[in-house]
Amino acid sequence: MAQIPKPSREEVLKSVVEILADSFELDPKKITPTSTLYEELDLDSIDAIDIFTQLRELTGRRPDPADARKVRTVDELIDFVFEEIDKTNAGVPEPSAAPPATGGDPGKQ
Amino acid sequence: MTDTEEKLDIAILGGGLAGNLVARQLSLRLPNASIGLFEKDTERGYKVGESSVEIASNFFIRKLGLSTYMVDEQLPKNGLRFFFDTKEKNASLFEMSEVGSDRLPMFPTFQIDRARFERDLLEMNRGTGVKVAIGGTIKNLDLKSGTDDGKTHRHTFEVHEPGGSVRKVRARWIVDASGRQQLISKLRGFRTPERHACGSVWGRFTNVTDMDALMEPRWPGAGAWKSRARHTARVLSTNHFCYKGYWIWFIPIARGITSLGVVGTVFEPWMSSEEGFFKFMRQHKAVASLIEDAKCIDVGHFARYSYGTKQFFGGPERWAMIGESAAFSDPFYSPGSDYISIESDMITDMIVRELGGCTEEDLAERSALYDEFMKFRFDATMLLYRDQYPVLGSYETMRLKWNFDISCYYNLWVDFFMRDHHLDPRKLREQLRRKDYVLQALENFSKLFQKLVVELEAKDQLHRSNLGQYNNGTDLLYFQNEIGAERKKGAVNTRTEEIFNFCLEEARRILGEGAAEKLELHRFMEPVSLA
Repeated sequence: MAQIPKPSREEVLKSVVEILADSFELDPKKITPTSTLYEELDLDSIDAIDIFTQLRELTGRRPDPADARKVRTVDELIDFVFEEIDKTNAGVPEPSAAPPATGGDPGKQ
Repeated sequence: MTDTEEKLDIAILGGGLAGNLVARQLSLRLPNASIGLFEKDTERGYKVGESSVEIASNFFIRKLGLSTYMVDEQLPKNGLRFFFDTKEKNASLFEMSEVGSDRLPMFPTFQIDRARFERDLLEMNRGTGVKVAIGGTIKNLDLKSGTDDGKTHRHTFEVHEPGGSVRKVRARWIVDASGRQQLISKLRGFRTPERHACGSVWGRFTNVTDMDALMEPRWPGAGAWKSRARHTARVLSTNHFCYKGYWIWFIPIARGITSLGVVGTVFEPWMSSEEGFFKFMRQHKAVASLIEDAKCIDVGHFARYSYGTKQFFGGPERWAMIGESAAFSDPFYSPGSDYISIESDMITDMIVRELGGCTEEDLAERSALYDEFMKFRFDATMLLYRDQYPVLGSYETMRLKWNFDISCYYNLWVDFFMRDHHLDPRKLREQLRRKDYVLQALENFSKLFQKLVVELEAKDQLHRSNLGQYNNGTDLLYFQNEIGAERKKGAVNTRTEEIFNFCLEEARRILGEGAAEKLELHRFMEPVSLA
């Protein structure tokens, strides 16, 4: 499988700022590596899933929505992109498309 | 023959609730605009839709300057109240399980005498300079669709007066408030069918027994029953007697008159006469006990009331539809005046901007956004009702649905309205981006509630908790102090996640399953089975 070339940290930052500014109508000048997604940029976990989905082009793999809550800042988002690229290049399988059925008794499954 | 011609900035076609409310808002915001309001009926007769809920009440108070009027002239509403019966419909009122408030709700709402409200609004509108024309019939409405025909007064219609004279009117903006006449919708073919197939029959009655005045010893158990709801005024609630597939309402509309109605899949034509209506109501023991001495003033009905629309607003063409001239979902939870309020705000905003000289691009963008939001809102509303009427039959399932619906309404819709996010393009785009997630989550819960009914029925347990239980309907409203206050989006989502997890856990309890791990919000918004 083709390896994804690693972009520079600046390139990822530029892409992340573009996604944030375009998707959420944020002022690009106010988005810095230390910006907190949920407090300063007033995003929420659903926005994070949107961001992750758009980052697929960079990472080459479907993100796990559960990771959305772990990422707190723009810097951590960039780290996440690199981790995802590493996973793609190491051949780690993507998370399943549909989450497991909810509400059932896990013991019975 | 056309005798005269009149030019208006804004012509409002219809002088019912929708037309009068938007006329008031427009005349307050645009005191120098020429606004005409055209209403055919010379008398303000009885109409259903007496209950206002939180968004509409906030609109009356905050946007229309009706704070003191609502308190002086209409009744305060004590929330919603639901009673549940046995399978045989033979429970007495005091035996019935109940979900309903035990205090006046934090956000004011009102029980409205529609005829008086509309009459008073007409007078207020005259007072703020609206040219009110009563008695004429609108004919030959011609939307010029943005052609250059007079540009500023492009639309025309005729007003045919009862005496035979005809007036021609030209208007820059047309606001269609014609209700089920649907003047614009018919011209353009906007109406869409809705598979939610419920009908309704209703009437006004005098001498309905006052449930707050029930006394021992004639009504044994009255003291304990009143104590259960902290002696609150139950009569002031919108009282629902709930059955699998339908509900019966009791709403006070002041001066000794009570509105009663039946809504649901149960509707049949024989029920639409006074005799048929009484006969149907008397099949329910508790309802029968409250109407023993009742006298009917009038009855009305809709065999099938729900319909959608392909479009709400045509800003670039300078027209808009409001209220039932556009769409109608369902009377359960009384959303009609909420729709009118949001639409009135949007229409007023567009007209204020257009008359203020905004660009065509700005107007077109706002109109499209407002339109898409209203369609989203309608789709979300229908998910509360479609296939959900069986849920009404059980105290357990309806209590859960109520707690889900009221907390989502407060957290997602009332808050959004109170903070005027519905007029903020950025906020609207944000909502619309997540439209599919929201609709999916609502659909997941709708299916969960349906599943509960199926499971309980299979075990013949749908009615197992319909006697002797009481819940004040605020299981999830512990966050109501936050509504309308500044909140981060994340805080809104945290509440949504809590609501969803609470309801999932309760559903599991009803099904006899053990507790499960709490889910993150996004898990509820995927196309999954929660059941």
